[in-house]
Amino acid sequence: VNGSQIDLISYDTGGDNQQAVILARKLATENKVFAILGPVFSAESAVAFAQAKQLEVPIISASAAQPGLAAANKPWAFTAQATDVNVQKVVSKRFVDLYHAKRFAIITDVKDGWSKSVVKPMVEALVNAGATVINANDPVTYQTGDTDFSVQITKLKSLKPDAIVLAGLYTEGAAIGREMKRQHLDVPALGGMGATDTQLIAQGGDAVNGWVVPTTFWPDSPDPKVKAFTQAIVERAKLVLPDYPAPDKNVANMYDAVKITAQVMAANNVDGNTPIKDARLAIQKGWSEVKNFTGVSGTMTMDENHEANRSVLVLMVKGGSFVPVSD
Amino acid sequence: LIEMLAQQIFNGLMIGAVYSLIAVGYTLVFGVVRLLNMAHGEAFMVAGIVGALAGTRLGLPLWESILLALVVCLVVGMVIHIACFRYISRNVEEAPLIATLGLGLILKNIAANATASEPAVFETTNLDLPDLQVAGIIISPIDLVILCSSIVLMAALARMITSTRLGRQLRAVAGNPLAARLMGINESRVTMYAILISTVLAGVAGILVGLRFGKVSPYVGMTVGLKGIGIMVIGGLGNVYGAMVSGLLIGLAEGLAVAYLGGAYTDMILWILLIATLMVRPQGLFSGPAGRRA
Repeated sequence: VNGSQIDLISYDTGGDNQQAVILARKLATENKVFAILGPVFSAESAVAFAQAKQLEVPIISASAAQPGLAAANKPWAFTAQATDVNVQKVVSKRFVDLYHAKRFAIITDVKDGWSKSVVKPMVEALVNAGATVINANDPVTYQTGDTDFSVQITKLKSLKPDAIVLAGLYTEGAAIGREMKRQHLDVPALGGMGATDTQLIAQGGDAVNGWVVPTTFWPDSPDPKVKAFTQAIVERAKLVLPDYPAPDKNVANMYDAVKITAQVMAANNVDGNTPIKDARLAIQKGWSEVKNFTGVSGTMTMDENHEANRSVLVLMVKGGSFVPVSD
Repeated sequence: LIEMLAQQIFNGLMIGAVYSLIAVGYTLVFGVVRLLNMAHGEAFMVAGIVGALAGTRLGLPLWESILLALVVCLVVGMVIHIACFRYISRNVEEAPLIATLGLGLILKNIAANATASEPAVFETTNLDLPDLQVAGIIISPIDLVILCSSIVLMAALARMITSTRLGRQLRAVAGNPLAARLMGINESRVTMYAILISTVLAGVAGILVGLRFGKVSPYVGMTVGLKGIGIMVIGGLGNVYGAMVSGLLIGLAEGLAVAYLGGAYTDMILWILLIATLMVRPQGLFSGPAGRRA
């Protein structure tokens, strides 16, 4: 960028909130970085964002999707993931049109922050799409890490729904799909961004066929830019993980976040000699003005809450892979 | 409504049978060495992960995958014995316990690195056979395998404890280690057998869970291990029969709690029952005479 090389310093929070705080502080004060890209999850982003705000360093999570995280830590924090309100609006309407489902039953993860926060947008979006969520006031619940969902599925089955809506992550989602199949709860399921991962299919197998999920990135897209990106990531990932299937939306979002940061630096004449305070301010200002950026994960515009407005793709699981659901 | 209740009771008993296998393993070792084997839950995890990866990465058929997982489990058992009990002085009482905790963390990290922190997926689940439906209750063939193999293994264990030379040695060491030594019983060897048997029981549980639910997470060991400890304490420390029964009871209680109170209570219910049991009957529900101990 502007004749300087970007140094990438990488730490692993392990998804731990305390580590996220320690490492955000370390990056800002010891490593004296111009900007922090990360962390991954909403819960750790909430605490790391607060540190970045205090230390006045731009921080951008490419994957945290919980609404309000960035707004609470303006002007330094940004979430580059699409917000659940917008995403669920698009995917719910498409699902209802596709399956003509009217009666939904909801199941949620009570241990995961994102899962809890997405229940409301999910229910509202389905109601706006003309459906009802029969247990909206009393969702069937489980906890992150559970493996046995027999009890929950027996309960969902007794509600006799047309479709299931999952406010949870892909790992448990895959196990829920398997148990639905075992108990012959043969209805389609609608997920949120947390369910969209190739691991949903890898772990759920044919039990998740017909499931519909939203995303901002589809690795099998015929777009040459996406194809090249996917191929490059798979080649590198396979060196350490032989059965790596394909990059997911978070990988693509992070790639785009790096690209945007570099673009912002280039446009604002930031290079290796720029004083740290000026560089951080320029990157912060640049990120707040991102408009119609087109990357491997579609287009993105930052809104006034520092949350990304993104193009949303609707995918369905079919024959062991994701395929797009058209309008 | 009754159909749902019946299904929930069956669901609870099925997972309870798995809990029993795990808790019995804990109890067996605790009875002999009077210490917790904190790597016990990781043996459950290792068996599940190896069983799954043997199919997906090595392309082994199911029975060979299971066999390989059990062999690896025996190796893990030997490592636990050698690294945590055989060569670590019992003069500092907690030393072997801490060593098992460390070994458990090592096993967890190896598994997490091998699977990139994602669960390992079994290619075959439910043994690829159709489900049975009895009075509205759905019973998978693997459910029956879980229930039957748990019952058979526990019955075999009970018989081994009461009627074999090794069983008598186990009871002797559990009852009075000094007297057992004076009678010429090799305490170290008895400890090794107790650990190997318990590790295999945990391994069988790990494989059964993998086959039933389709995958095993590298992070499941600690949760399963803590549950096993709780169930053992409720059943009565060192009482093998108590562990068997309380495993089933906890499975049932958890299932009903999730069904009628919500998923947030899954982990809580065991510890509520544990505290209640300790308040009313500190020796555990089934604590009996020393002769019944392992």
